Amino acid sequence: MLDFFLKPLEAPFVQQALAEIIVLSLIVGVIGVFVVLRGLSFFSLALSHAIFPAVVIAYAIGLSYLLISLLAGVLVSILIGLVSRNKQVGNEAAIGSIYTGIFAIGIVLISAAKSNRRLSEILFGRLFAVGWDDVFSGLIIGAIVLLILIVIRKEFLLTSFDPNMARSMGLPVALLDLIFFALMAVTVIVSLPAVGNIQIIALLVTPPATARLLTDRLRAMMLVSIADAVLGGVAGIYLAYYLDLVPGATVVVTLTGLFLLALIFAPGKGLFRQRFATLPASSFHKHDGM
Amino acid sequence: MRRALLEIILLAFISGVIGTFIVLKGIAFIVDGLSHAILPGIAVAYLLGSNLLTGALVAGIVVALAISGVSGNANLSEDSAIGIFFTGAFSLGVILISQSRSRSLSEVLFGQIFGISEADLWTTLLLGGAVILVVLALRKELLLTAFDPLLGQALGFSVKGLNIVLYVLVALTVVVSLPAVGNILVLSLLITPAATARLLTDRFYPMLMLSVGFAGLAGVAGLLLSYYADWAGGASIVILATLFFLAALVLSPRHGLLGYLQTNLAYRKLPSEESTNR
Repeated sequence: MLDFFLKPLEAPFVQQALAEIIVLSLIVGVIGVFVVLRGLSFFSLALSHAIFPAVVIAYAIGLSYLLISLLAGVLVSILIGLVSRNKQVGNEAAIGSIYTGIFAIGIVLISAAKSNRRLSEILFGRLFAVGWDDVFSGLIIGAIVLLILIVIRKEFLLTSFDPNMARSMGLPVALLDLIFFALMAVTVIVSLPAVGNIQIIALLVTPPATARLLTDRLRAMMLVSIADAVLGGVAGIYLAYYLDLVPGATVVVTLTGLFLLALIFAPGKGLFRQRFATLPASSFHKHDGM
Repeated sequence: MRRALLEIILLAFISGVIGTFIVLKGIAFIVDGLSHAILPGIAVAYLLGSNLLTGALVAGIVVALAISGVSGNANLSEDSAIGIFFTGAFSLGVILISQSRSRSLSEVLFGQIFGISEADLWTTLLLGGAVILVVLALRKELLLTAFDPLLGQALGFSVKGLNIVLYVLVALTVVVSLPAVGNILVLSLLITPAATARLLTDRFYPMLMLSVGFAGLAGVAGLLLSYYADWAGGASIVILATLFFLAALVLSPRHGLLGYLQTNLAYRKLPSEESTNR
């Protein structure tokens, strides 16, 4: 039994994958709580796709992709923010139109560079191919992201949940939002080598949503979501190791499984409890003439 | 080339029509989610050797039901529910496809517009025609629930039922478009022309026609671009559609940036008249 857990640890690629997923869990667990509470899943999907051309360009000219993609992420955030102000278009159509357009530019660029391997690497990541340098850059950038979040957490909370109040108190709401989007972009960029730009959404959204089902307090939600991400990540890696499956995808499937468990069994909010708790109340309301 | 042109014109009709409803209802993310979530259905159908369309449709319906079920009761937003289920289903699909090792994933993801077969064309024509007929038959109900779901409910329409009908139609549209544009860029074909049309008109039928028109224009011009400049087919179409959208965003007389500046400057000149008028 013990051997089952220890044997994979001998392989260096498993060690690196485990270290990477734990580092990523720390970052996404905290950032993801804001993403879920503010309902920014679609926006984060757009962000992760829209920095794609920047990554392609950075590879092509051999520059560090971090800076270029960060710049692209901020530009895209501003563009989406401006376009979605147009009431005719609306938030959802604005996000969708802009990100698919920018993503398509990336595809044209990458097909010009004739490197299909790079494409699937960016789309799906290669968790079993991350190196210690990826882990360390994740650690350093993650520490910076968390530090910024901790330093301005009060301002963040206020602008996240009550932007009008924040505005009337004189906080620079637009700037704070932009900083948050930049932190999201950085998180996405750091996670790209491991999980790629579609599955990063699962890492950002699923653990905090699971935590949301289990607790109502913000700090507890962050801790639970980090723990859930670590659990899902480690289990997914073992699953991929023993069954020879695609590692990033197994992590996501495990996380989804944990979410479904929480959805069914969560005390107070799970499907079982909810059925018992709400049935009498709702039938009572109906008799009340509601 | 001729088959590719025919296919893209057919797709322009289908996606232009259904895209109008998607934009009016503001459900782009759920469409995006559905287009990714049908991947495991395709993979399972492929492994079992059965019809890909059926597999995709079943997966699409299951995920649509899961999303509307979860966002209806737990204290999670619909946005999160979509994010969770589409990535989960998509990853399952990635695992299954990589196990089958038979059909290349990138074909499903990006499509092969120049590899369209005669059978693909017939499928598009028949299923797409059915989708358009159903949408037009239900247009009043769909519009009512898009603009005023409460009134719709009060009049006795099942809002949830209509939503599920719309999701099934969207899933069908996505499945039909897959061979041509793939499942990441199909979102653009569905919403960008409709959003462009929305900027230019406030009436339903003109919006429908403009939406079909822009989809067709971007499709045909994109194909030519891809043919002559050797760009990826689906991506060229999307880039052109996005350019049309940005142009409308700036130039639209009533809802564009120029129109906005014009009215604002006019109001600034006549502040008293403006305040009495409103």
